[in-house]
This record gives sequence, structure tokens and C-alpha cells, in this order.
Amino acid sequence: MNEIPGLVKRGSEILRTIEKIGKYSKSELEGLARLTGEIQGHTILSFLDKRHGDAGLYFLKNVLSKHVNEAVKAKEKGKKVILIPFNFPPELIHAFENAVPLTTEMMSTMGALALEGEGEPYWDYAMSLGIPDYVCSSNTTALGSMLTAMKGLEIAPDAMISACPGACDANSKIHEFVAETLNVPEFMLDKMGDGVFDYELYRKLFLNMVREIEEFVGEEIDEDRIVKVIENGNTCTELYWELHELKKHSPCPVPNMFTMLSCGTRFTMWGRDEAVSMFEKLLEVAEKRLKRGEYPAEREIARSLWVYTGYYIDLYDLWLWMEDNGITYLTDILNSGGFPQIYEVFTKEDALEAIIKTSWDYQMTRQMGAENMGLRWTEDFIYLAEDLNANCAIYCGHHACKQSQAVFRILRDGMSSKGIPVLKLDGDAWNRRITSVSVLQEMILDFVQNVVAKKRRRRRGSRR
Amino acid sequence: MSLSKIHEIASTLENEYVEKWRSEGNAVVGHACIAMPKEVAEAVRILPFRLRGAGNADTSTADSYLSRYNCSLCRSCLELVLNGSYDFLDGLVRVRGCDHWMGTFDEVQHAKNPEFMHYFKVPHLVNGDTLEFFSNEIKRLKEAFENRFGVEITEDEIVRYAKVQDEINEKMREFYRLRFKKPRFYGSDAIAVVVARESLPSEVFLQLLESAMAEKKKVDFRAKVLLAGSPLDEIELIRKIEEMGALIVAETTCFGGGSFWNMAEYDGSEIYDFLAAKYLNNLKICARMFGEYAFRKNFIKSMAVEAEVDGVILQHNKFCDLFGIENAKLRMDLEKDGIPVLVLEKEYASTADIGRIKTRVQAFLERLKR
Repeated sequence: MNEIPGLVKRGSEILRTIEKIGKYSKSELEGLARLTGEIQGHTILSFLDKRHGDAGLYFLKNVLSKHVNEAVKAKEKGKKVILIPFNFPPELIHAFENAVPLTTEMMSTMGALALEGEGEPYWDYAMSLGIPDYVCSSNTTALGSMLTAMKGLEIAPDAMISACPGACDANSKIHEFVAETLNVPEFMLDKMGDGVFDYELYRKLFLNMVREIEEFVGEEIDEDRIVKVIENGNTCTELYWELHELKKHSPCPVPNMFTMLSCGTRFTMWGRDEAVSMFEKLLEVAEKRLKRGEYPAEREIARSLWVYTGYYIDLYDLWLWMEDNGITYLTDILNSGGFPQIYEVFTKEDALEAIIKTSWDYQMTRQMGAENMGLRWTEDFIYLAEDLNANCAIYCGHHACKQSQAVFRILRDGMSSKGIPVLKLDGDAWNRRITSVSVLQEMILDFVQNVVAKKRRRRRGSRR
Repeated sequence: MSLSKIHEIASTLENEYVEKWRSEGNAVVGHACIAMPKEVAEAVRILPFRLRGAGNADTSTADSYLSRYNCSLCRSCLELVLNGSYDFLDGLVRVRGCDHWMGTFDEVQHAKNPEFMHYFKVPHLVNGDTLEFFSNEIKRLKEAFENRFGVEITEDEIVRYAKVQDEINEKMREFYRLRFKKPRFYGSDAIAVVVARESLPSEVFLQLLESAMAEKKKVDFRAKVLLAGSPLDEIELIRKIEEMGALIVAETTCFGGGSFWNMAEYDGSEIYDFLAAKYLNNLKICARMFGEYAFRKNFIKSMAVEAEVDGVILQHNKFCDLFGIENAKLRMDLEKDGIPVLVLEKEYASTADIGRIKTRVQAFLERLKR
């Protein structure tokens, strides 16, 4: 383990290579995929699959590679690298000239999908430090990788942010562990509930945090820059909702993998020009598919709403496979849980207020910061199910996510009361050793063929 | 006699004093966190009763609400709520202690929908803004009690009960010091005392504590140990550990010394601001409080020095992210400082765990050369 560089360093090398990829033919692509390991090959095939147009490659080159390599280069340029969790809007950091965000979950996802040994060497290293095996593998993997910075094998963050202690214990606690061990400052927020006083406290803490970051980075946020960041965010929001509208068509013209590309962009580049271009690409591909009536399977059987996260262990054998079998992945909590909004801003103060509101209502902070997390989660997903005409819901059952596991019963009862069957899987979203992809496929197929499809047939029969 | 009464109270839920309290027309409200300001409730004769598992290992119904990936203490408590063992409560005050407790209260609401369930918002950070928020939150708790139970809570009464709590805290420190140098009580006695405090009206508890302190005993042990980590009310488990010769002489846990050791004494200031600072600062002992890792590490170290312990046991229930992660860090740091550490991961009240735990404790004692 001591000899293996961290996820960011290793990922940045691969991504720089991918930046050089031009347009490959299908057979060239398959050849390239064969040169790599099975998982890495599947990742390449997934991103470059023709159903995604050039959106997959654009994501790798202009979103992920930039995100990662800007962090790598930041050090050389004297900029600060701020490690942020999935539930913090990166646009605040993009508002700084001299700071770049690095998102914890993007690191572990990249590890699980693109690197030899996936995230496992880092997870193993974390285990050797005494971190329990039931802690979220995404955070544990990121921890193992970050700590290699002590040996100069990883980009050490200069500071960290904890967006919502209490909304995800594992995430907040792992961030604290890393900050304490690497001896870097940690900036923290606290969302107590949904009331007026709760918001007032959150706003105060957020503004204090901004002042602290300004002091730490040695730069006051420039008004023009932050306004531009919000304007870009607004454009992305418009495109995001257009994409959402397209998902209402059946068969769904938006490829399954676009959910990941959309939230991957949200978590890293939101507020930047690259994010706008990314969403334009997603929309362009989906609109073309709609116009041509393209759908990979003969018919769309299941319109599945993933009520929590997806699995990031094999995109090809899960998300593409699902689509090939008539199972649409409409969206999940990471992509749709935040209900992005447009904010009209003219000043730095307006822009900060917009980011505070966004952060307060951000995906998962919104649900898990609620007074009754189970109810908020259920209400949001019943709304999404009705809005997107979902005919089933799937919970990935990420075994380390204690808060969603704790209230799944509430969600299931709520969904069932609306006639939406829910499949509870059992696995680890970032670690393929827990439940293998073939087992997941079997469970999904069983559910779709025996519950969802039969229900559709019964409904059609009763209409006749 | 008083010590055996305390053990009896700690081993049951609705005890004879609670029954009497209720028969006099007073209310009992359940809660699950030491951030609950007892003074505010007691000022209008509402008994704050802390939820605990009371050694219940059967979680069969609770498991259909929570999952098997949730903390077994929470599942045990939920089971007791669902099977009616907590029906003597007139309501609940929920605190977002951790992911597991939050879900537990969500599920209680889903399954039982109690008439009174107040969400008491306890910040995860301690600073000027959160203290101001928490002071107002305590006022909102007072208003919730007033509205639900048709009472009026005066600041004078709260101050009166704050002084009662001060007296109890001081007496508790005195009792704990009887365990430090030349121990005169077992750790199992101490945990029973803390559990009893969370289950009794303050006046009753104070009397029992004073007489129990007179019942000093001869205590045998091989090594003196400090217990830290997640909430632990398993008196039977402590007894088993002590039977091996590892005497628990101090705890920093919230069913132990952590529940009162750092509680400030009333200083005459504005009562709500005082209570906010008193309870939030004391809560720094819990891993759910962020930015306070150094406080917890130093608290363990200072208690270890004062109690002259040979080593520290860091324990947590399986699936506890907060203490599971923190214990890994604490082990690294305490051992670097020369303090021997045993990390114990366990399931709540599981008899199946006992043999394994005994072996680990035995090995730890060998490591301590005791």
C-alpha cells in the first residue's frame, strides 16, 4: 500500500491520457477496452458507447479530468485545494480565483471505475488503521487515499468542508479524521431542521465560513466572478430541467448513464462554463434520441426511480445492461434530490444568498437535514415518481448508509400506498466485493419481470 | 440497601418511583440524549426519563422498521417502544443524536405516532451562533411542555432545579472519586447509579445516592481501566469484564462519567443562556459533536491520569459510525501517548459476544502485565 499513489494522482494520469482520445470506431474501442482490465474496459465502453454521443467523452475530458487535474496543478500554482463532500455546492469554491474544489465521492467513484484494484487498496489501508468495515466504502476509500499524502503519494487537501454534520455521520466523521490526521483546517456547517430559526443559524454559519475561507485563501471573493458562477449555475439549472422534462417521454430518450454524468457535473464543475457545455451535450443527445425514437431495447418495461444512489462498480453491466433490457434508470437522489432553482443575482451578497439556499436544499442535505428524514425522503420521491411516471422504485441498499437504511420502511410504505412497488437491493455502491454485479442483475431482472411487468399487464388487462 | 435498590432500578424500566410519580398526576417524558435540560422539565414536575435498552436483546419487530445495519442499542429501544414497555411515557423528546437515533425516532413516529413528540434541535458545533440558537431552542422546549401539559414554567423554578442538578453533579463527582485511587465501588455500580439517575425524580435519586455512597465495599481487581466510547448501559457486560479483573474506575461515556463530569455550576446568569452553555459544552464528550475531537481526547487523558488507570477500553456498537471512526483515531493517538488501548466492537446485550469479549479483555490484561 505504501508504494501506491493516491486516487487523485493515479486518476489524473489516466484522465490526461483519455484527453488524447479522438474518435474511435467501435472495433478500435473494443480493442482499447480489451487492453485494460475488465472493469476499466467496461468503463471505457460505457463512457464511449455511441448511445451517449460524445457526451461521455466530453465528461471525462472536460469535467472529470479538469476537476482532478486542476487540483493536481493547484499546488504548483500556489492555489488552495479544498476537499468538499458530495453534499456541498462546489460553486462557492469556483468563486475563488485561488482555490479549487476536490470532491471526496468523485475520488472514490473514479477509483471504483477506472483504477486497477478499484478502490480496494485504499479501503484495505483504512481497515488496517482500525476504521470499521461497516463505514461507507466511498468515504473509507477516500480516507485511505488521502492519508497517502503523508508520504507524498497524494495531493494533500489544504482545507476541508463538512457540509452537514448529522446528515451523514460517516462522511462528516471521515472528514474529521482526515483533517485531524493531516492537520488541516476544517470548515463546518450545521443544518438543524427546516424552520426559520434553523435557516437563520445555517445562514450565519455559512457566511462565517465564507469569511474564514476568504481569510484562509487570502482572497476576497470577486463580485463579477461569483455572479458569473451563479449565472452559469442558472443556465445549468435550465438545461437540467429541460433534461428532466425529456425523461417524461416513454421510452425515455435520456440514457441511463446521464444521471451519473449530470450529478457528476453538479458535484464538480457547477458554475463553470464546462458544466454548461456538458448539460448542452446531454440535452442534445437526448433530444436526438427522442426525435429518432431511439431506445436500446424493443420496449421500455420498467421506468425505475432509484430512490437513493446507484452502483458505481460496473456501469456497463448495470446501467447500460438495464437499458438494453428495457429498464430505464430515471434518476436518483444524488441527481434529483436537490431540485435546483434559478436565482437572479446582481451583487456578491445576492450570489452568496443563492449559494446558501442551494446548499441548504442540496441533494441529501435537504432530505437528511429534515426534521423527519424518512417523511421528507418519501414525499420527494413520491413527487418524482408521479412527475416522471415511474412504475417502480429501487433502493440500492448501500449497506453502510445507516440513515437511509433506518427509514427505508417509511419510504417503502409511502411508495406502496401510491401503488409503486419498491425493490430493496443489498450491496455496496462502491465495493464490488460485497454483492457481485451478476447477483444484482438477477435481483433486478426478477423484480422487473415478475412484479413490474406483470403489474403493467394487469393494468392493461383491466383497462380493456 | 440503597445500592441494591439502585441496581434494581437500573435493571427495569418503569420503576416504583415512576409509578408513584405518575399516580400523583405528574408526567413522564422520554428522551435519548444528555443534552436534555432536566431542570426545564422538572420545574413543572415532568420527569425526563432516558430511553435505554435495559439489556433487551430481542429486536425482532424493530428489525422490520430499522435495518440490520442499524445500531443494536437503537433497535433494542425501538423494540421496547413497539412492544409497549415504554407505554408509561406521556411523550417523547427527540434529538438527532446520530443517524441511527434519528431513524429510530422517525420510525417511532411512523409506527406509533405518539401524541407528543417534540424535536429538540441540538447543534453539532459549539460557537457563539450555535449557543444562541440552543438557548432559544431550550425556550422552545419549555413552550412545548407548557402547551402540551397545560403548565407554566417560571425561570425561578428552573433556577431552583438547576441548583438541585448542581448538587447532584457535585455528589456524583464525589462518588466517582471514591473509585479512583483506592476503589470502593465497582464500575457496574457506577453505571447503575448513572442509569438510575436517568430514571428517577432528582430528589429521590439524591437520597439514594447519598446512602449508597456509605456502602463502600472491598473491591478486587487486576488492573484499573477507563471505559470510553458509545452509550453503554449494559451493566451485565461491565460485570463480566470486571469479573476478569479489569475494574472500570472511570468512564467518559454518556451513561457514565461523561453525563455530568464537565457540567458547569449555575453562576447566576440568564438561565437559558446558562443552560445552553452548560449542556452543549458538556455534550462535547459525544462523537456527534464536530470540531471537538481534541476535547474528547484530552478528557479521556485527564480522567485516565486522575483515576490512575492502567489502560483504556474504547467500545462501540457495531454499525456506529461516529464512535467506530473516532475510536480508530483515539487508539492511534492514545497509544502514541503511551496509554494502552483495547478497542471493543460489540452488539448490544448480545450474550453471544460475551465469550469473545472475555478473551479480548483477558489478553488486554496480559498486555498490561496484570
